[in-house]
Amino acid sequence: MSSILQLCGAVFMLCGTMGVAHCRVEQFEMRFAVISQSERMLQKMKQKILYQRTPVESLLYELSNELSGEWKQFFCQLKTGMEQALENDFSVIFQDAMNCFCDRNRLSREEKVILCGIRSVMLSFDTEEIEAEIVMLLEEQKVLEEKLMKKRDETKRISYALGVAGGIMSVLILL
Amino acid sequence: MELAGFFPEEVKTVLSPYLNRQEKLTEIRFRVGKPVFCYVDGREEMVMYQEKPYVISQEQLRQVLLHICKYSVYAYEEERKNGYITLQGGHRLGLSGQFVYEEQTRRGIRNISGINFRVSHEKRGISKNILHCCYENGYPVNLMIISPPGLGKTTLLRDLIRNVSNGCEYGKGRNVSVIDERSELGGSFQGVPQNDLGLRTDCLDGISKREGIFMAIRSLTPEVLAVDEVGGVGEESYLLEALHCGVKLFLTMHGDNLRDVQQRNQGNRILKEHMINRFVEIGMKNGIRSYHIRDENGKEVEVVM
Repeated sequence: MSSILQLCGAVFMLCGTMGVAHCRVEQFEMRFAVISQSERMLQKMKQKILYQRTPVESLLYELSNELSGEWKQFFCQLKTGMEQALENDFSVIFQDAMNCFCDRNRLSREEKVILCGIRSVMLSFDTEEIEAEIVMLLEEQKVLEEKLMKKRDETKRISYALGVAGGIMSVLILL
Repeated sequence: MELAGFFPEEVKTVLSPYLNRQEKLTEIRFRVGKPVFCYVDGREEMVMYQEKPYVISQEQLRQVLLHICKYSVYAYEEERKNGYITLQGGHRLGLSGQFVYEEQTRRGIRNISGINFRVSHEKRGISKNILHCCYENGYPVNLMIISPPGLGKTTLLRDLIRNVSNGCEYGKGRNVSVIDERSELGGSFQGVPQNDLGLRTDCLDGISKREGIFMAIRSLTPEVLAVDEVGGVGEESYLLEALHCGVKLFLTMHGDNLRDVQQRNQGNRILKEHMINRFVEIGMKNGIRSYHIRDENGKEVEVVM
């Protein structure tokens, strides 16, 4: 009887730990997807702002059409915000969209840099400044992507190790 | 687009007494740390807010500019280099501030310290009383409008272009090409003229006079070529080229009167060799505008009020 209880305890413990680890991995996957997709978004922005001089209104429309996933949603929200409340301050509309985006994707403060960068790009007067900002953001994006990749792999490894350890423990208890 | 839509909430509230009189409002001047001025019906009025002059800060001016440009100031970089931005509706923003040069080329303007919002007014029909002197036997003649700044040369030329292009009682509609170097005639916004320039008008926006004249002659086969504010160095040769191609010219030039223009441009062959058939001098006395029409010899033939 006690061994069955021990086994159940071990299985619950194992499932719990694995569940937490799995959630962590999923969270990292989500953040990783957002950050890695941001490179495409930044490149598109660079092309549209610097080479085509696309005004913000059209830029938001084009980006919300051309991008996919979370970034599409972000630019859609911005576009709607601009359409519905053109009288309001763009910074306020952007701040709202940024907060929603960060909460939804559980972005860290470090990762918010990309969004803050996008805001300063859009509000900048000077194309040289915009170019420098986008170059910096692209570099930052690479660093963040690598960091997230490492963290994600680490969490995955821990999750596997826990699974293996739990399995062994269950077998030992059964024996 | 209504003028109010250009300004952020606070500024809009403060300017509302003026924005409600859009048809009479000609200019709004914003300067960092200074009161805002509006020009209504030619009169200067200091903008007051809560019984004090409304003074604008650097940040407010930045916000005004961002809002006017719909948060896309970068999209106007080429225009900003020349110190102005043309907006939807043909309105014009004149900018002052620190101009930046790179290898003797003007690269742009930074630290903007002042904005002059010039309200565009299309005054249809103002050329009605002088149209008869712009034609001879049903054909347009070479014409030059002369006046000091602010008396309405460009507005008059715009109305003439529209009438000549659409056709009027003095002649049928003609193909007109407009060389709109500073986007003042067409008031083009994103390449589309915001002002009505007529049915048969092609507008070359933002192009230099030299390139524009050659391009128009070669590809648009105009019967009339309209160029605003001529008189720059080297411009004479392009205009002569156009005249030799049989194109009629509608020009404007800064100056008090024909004599003033002739004195300042003594070597100008167009003026010297009587190539212009009609000169229209715009004068203003006691708020009443008058048009003095002169023939190719400079003799006054008519005064139209």
